[in-house]
Amino acid sequence: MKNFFVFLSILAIYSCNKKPIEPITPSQYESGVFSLNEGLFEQNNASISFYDGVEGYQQIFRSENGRGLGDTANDFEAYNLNGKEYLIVTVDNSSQVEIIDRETMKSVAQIPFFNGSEPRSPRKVVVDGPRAFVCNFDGTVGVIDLFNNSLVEIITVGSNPDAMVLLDDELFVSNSGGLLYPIYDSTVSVINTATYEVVSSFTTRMNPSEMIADGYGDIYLISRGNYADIPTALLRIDAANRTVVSITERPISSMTQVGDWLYYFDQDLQGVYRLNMMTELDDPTQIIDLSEFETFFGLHYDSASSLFYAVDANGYVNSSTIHVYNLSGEGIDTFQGGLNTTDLVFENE
Amino acid sequence: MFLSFMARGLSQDTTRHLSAIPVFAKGDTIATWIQIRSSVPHFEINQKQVDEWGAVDVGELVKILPGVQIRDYGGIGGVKTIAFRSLSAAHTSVVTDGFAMSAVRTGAVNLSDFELFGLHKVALSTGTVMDDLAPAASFAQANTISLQSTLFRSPDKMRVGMYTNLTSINAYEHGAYYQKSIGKGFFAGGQGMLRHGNGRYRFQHPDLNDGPELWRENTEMLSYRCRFAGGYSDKQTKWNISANYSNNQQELPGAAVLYNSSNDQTLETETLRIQSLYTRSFKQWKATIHGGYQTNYMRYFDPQYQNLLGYIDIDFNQASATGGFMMARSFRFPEEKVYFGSDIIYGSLDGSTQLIRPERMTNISVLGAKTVLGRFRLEGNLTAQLIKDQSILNTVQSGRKFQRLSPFLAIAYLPFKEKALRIRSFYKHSFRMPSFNDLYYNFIGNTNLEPEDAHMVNLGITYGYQFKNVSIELTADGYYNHLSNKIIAIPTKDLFNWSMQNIGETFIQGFDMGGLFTYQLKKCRLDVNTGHSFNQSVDITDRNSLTYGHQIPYTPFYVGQAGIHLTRKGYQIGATALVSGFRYTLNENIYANYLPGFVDLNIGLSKTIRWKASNLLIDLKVMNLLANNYQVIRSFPMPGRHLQLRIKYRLEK
Repeated sequence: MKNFFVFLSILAIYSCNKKPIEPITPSQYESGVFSLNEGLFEQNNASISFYDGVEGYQQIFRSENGRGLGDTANDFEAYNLNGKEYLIVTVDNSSQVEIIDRETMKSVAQIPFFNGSEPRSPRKVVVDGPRAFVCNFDGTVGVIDLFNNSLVEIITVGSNPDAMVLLDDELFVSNSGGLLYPIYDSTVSVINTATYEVVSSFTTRMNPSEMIADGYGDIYLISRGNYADIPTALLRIDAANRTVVSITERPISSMTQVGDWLYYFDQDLQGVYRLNMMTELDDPTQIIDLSEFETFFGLHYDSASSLFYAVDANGYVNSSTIHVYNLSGEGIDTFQGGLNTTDLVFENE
Repeated sequence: MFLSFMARGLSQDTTRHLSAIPVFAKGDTIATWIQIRSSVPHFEINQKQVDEWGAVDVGELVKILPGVQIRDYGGIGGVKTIAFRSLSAAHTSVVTDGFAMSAVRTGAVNLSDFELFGLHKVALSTGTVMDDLAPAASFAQANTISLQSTLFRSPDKMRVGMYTNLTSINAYEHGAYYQKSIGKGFFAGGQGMLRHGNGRYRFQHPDLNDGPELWRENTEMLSYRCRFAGGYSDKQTKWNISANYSNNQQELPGAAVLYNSSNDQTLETETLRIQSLYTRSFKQWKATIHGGYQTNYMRYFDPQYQNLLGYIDIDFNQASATGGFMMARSFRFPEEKVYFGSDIIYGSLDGSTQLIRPERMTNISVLGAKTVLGRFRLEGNLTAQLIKDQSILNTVQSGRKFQRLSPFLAIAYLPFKEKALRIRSFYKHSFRMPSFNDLYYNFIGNTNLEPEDAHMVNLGITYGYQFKNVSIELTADGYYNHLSNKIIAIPTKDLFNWSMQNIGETFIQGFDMGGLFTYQLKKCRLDVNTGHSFNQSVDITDRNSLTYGHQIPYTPFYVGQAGIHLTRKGYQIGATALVSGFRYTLNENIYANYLPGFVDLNIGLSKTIRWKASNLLIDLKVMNLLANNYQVIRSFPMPGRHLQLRIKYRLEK
């Protein structure tokens, strides 16, 4: 009997497995990369991580503010207002936009995005001077006055807008219709940023999402199709004439702009390729081989350091790993983000 | 274990003469033996335990058993599913009065659907079913929960039961049953149940340090059930027939999303079940035949969804029919017998958003034997499962067949003459068939899935000691489970394309122990029981993955429970506590996925009044006395401190 209890206590000690270490905060936020982690739907685990080039720090928003960022954070941008640096974050399922002091990571304002009691679900954000445009999955674009952090305007666009791009005084909003399965939306709305009016809405191709404006009046748009028989395609749009100039079926899942080049991840070839936006010519050589990735989740480019950052979401249920590459595709660093790293803000952004 | 404790209480409950029973009456001792002699971990819970723990449904009740982990989404009518020794709900069959509940859609049975009022026995066993006349279908799976209704048992003359349960979290439950002997061995009865309330309660959001108290909203529920049962009983024959209907309308509280309290989803379910069971003994033979039919309708409605319609409205219809037989023949003594049986189960699913309408025909047969050889007790059985799936998609019919054999072998050994200490062991290899969701769910489903494999090994000791007015019982079981071909969802191309795959592998080892101590001094009785479970369940799917060797989600390393009750002259004062260690909410064992442990302590005072054939219980409890603000599932906060008052009346003559 005695032996039995000795055995029990050994087992108890062994089984009372150690608690994981609580995250610590870095001493500074000036020099390093921020990653925004989407988390998982209804798990309240959206978070922000920071990598100072040596050490990775997780859950910094929570540590600095004593509360969680919320549920499903989709996008963030850095901006400067009156000489102070800020981050603006859209938190989709919590239906909030968070404004954060970039130097301290303390929240400056939390702006609720609701239509009465109905959540608007803010998805993406574009900062234009002292105001921010936020597209919401309820089919609207909200305008935030960044001087007093208040929502000043709501503009109705199409279904489930999922990306925006600014071209002079026009904001192009792609209406994905992502929740309209099986017939997704295919329109792009154009907002005049002076009058906040929708001046045009034109049809592109099924399920339009990410956009990049080249310096030559064109917008490159990824149309994601229906994930079944209508494949993903890259569209070139003549922004002034609101017309689709070309459609190239290509399994693109993420793209980024490097000068005149558009770099993209090809899902089938499991690598990063590029095309020239001035000459419209494809470069068939693979720039970065990402075939070792478990779950590719985004390609980002830091123009100050001329480095690519590619995210591996490790099956969407584990912490993301971020791989850093130079322009010739050589891996030079790796660090850990949080759960589903969806966006990065670099040191000089 | 406190098995015998339960068994004893059970026999107490079912004893029609309600005079005070000595702690160890002769009949009880026999019951004790049978439980402790069981060569697999087997638990039986009676009304006394139900009352002591203040449980309302089967999910709340079985969480007190060592090795059980209940995934409890909180609130009234919240979903509760079981994992036993880290084998998910799909490895556990639920059998009510011989009818194996169908769960073809998700594979998991929601245990909050079974209220405890009107049940006279709840049992959980692992490895094999303890009752030889249980349906063949229940032998196939790793674990079985079996429920037995009061109305299935023949009364002497009549039975009346009434029950009400009121809580300070606005959840109420009322029930009544009546059963009468109508002569010549025939009996008939009916039961009605009502569960209602807005279920609102306050909670502290764990992701807001020092945040304000919030309200758990959108929790209203109205549910009613009724059951009619009749039967015939004599020395050789037992026959039962029953019809069950339940209608459930509830708001779904959903996850407690930070900064966004909007929640408007509702769920509506309607179930109809008819079943019949016939048992006959002749000489050394005993035979059972059973049959049943069940339909289940479920409708989910979300009035705020950002699609064109602006809402989601989906429904599912499931139907299942079952029939089968079981035969047993005993030889030199009742414990030496051979049994065999076979069940046929049909299941279908039709959903408004499903493109496919799948059907499944299952045949499960079992052949087994047991005997006692000197100091050894041996039992073995072999279960064969034949499954044929058919589905129709756009008039194209496709099919799939599965065939599996599950062996089970148990050996128990008595090392000493006085029989106080017993060693038991078993091995079982079982399978979990892919559910219709796994196989056919739009886009995600994978029709090439194979069944999930579970190997289970158990080695344990049981010990019982009785001396005058003291009794002690202890059980301790170490186990090892190996789960392969585990069905998990993995992303394929992107976030929009997931697929179910047989790629998971889990190594599970653990230790469950239980203890019971009873002391009777004159009219005073002290009961102490405790259970402790240690569990290490690690992901061994992929050596190169971030989570290789990590504890799987929602699996605490330690869970313990204890109860202490003092009874005198019908008054009982007691406390029960459930302690859970920390868990992880996802595969990766990091702080971000850390969910703290909790203690759920309840205290209660009750009075039982008996006169003639009547028995009245008035019971007041303070639930979650420490006002621990805890979650079993991340984002689903549980109620804080609240009161529960229950009144139960029973008349049997």
